[in-house]
Amino acid sequence: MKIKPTIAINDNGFLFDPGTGDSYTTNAVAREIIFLMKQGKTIEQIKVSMLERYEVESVTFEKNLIDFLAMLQHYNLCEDCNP
Amino acid sequence: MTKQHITIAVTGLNNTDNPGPGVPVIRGIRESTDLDVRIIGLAYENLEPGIYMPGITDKTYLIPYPSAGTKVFFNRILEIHRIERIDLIIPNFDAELYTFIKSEKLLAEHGIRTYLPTLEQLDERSKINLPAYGKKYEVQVPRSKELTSLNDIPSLREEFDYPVLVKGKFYDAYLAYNSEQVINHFNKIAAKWGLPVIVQEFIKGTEVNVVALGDGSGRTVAAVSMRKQYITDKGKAWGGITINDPKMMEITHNLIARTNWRGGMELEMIKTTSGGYYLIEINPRIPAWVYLAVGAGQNIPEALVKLAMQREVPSYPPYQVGKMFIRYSWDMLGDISQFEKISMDGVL
Repeated sequence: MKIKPTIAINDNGFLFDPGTGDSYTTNAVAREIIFLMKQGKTIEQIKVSMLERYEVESVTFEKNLIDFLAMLQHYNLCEDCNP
Repeated sequence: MTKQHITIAVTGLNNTDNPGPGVPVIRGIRESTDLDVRIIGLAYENLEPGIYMPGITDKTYLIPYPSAGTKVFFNRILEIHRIERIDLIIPNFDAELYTFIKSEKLLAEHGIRTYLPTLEQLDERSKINLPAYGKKYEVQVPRSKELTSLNDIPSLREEFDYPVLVKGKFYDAYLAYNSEQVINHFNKIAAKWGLPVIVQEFIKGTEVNVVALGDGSGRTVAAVSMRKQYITDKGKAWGGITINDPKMMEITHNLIARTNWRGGMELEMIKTTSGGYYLIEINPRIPAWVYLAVGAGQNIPEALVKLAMQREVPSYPPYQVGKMFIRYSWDMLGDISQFEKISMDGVL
């Protein structure tokens, strides 16, 4: 599960796919998750890291994370992101 | 080294919402640090914006449409040549290419160069011949059929699934969802561009384009691919971005190598969601979005001028990916005296 190496990501969480010309904006939470993915963290490690920082129920976070990963996969930004 | 002084005549100054490539071609040439150019604009209409835009042409002449007859057309070109001593003409409209290619020798006899594909190259990539072209050069192309009369339309239902694209032989393309719409588009296109009208299978996907330059020996001197980000109701790019698509580059290099293409060209392709590439059109000239290629590091108009002047031009290194262009409209002010001069004297 990792962001495709060809995808350019800047510090503001702006994603650019040079192969298609598509670009994406992310909010602060999505940006954090993407940076964790770039560091090679697993879903479990991302979950632990985010639950430590945010007041959110584990089930709720997990559901949203799965949706987000599916979205990344749909837009072809991620490799093996189908949970 | 002293700069080479060249007088270049350029058509396609209609910088409208359906722009000709003349103005961006001139911008590219003017950015050259090796060339000292004098630009002569050749305009068909007295309200082509490029005539009035500051810093674009040094002088502009009105010329008759090639449809007025080759003799009339060339008499006017030679009349201008006698005044301006033109070294090179860069025609930028599909509809005038046939006339210019046919007259390449005649122009050369008068010392006027061109840098164009051969008649064979021009013909084989025409919309009418695209299926045979795809087969010959092993590129996927959409199925298509020529319509020469309204009687050909009812049988389309058996051969194509709607929607289909209805195209003119030079310009214009409309999507039709049923035979009534095909009839409307057929009449409109036939009146403007003549027959045949082409019906083409509609391929769903993302439109991606390449602007390229071949030197006639099979070498690709430059090639830049772009995805349209904003498209006008005429299907023209109002915004675009350079992309890195190795497959498109491979198709482009392969076609230029196998056809020995000479001159500028634009490949219009559809990339399907499954990763397939369909070549939908080849424009045999530099497209209006060429200034994006200049900005991305490949000054294709400059390279074309140098090739035409028989100078060595190495192939460009890779271009900058993620370079964008956005067109805009701008109310430029002029004076009635300018309009009067171009209308009455045919020169400004």
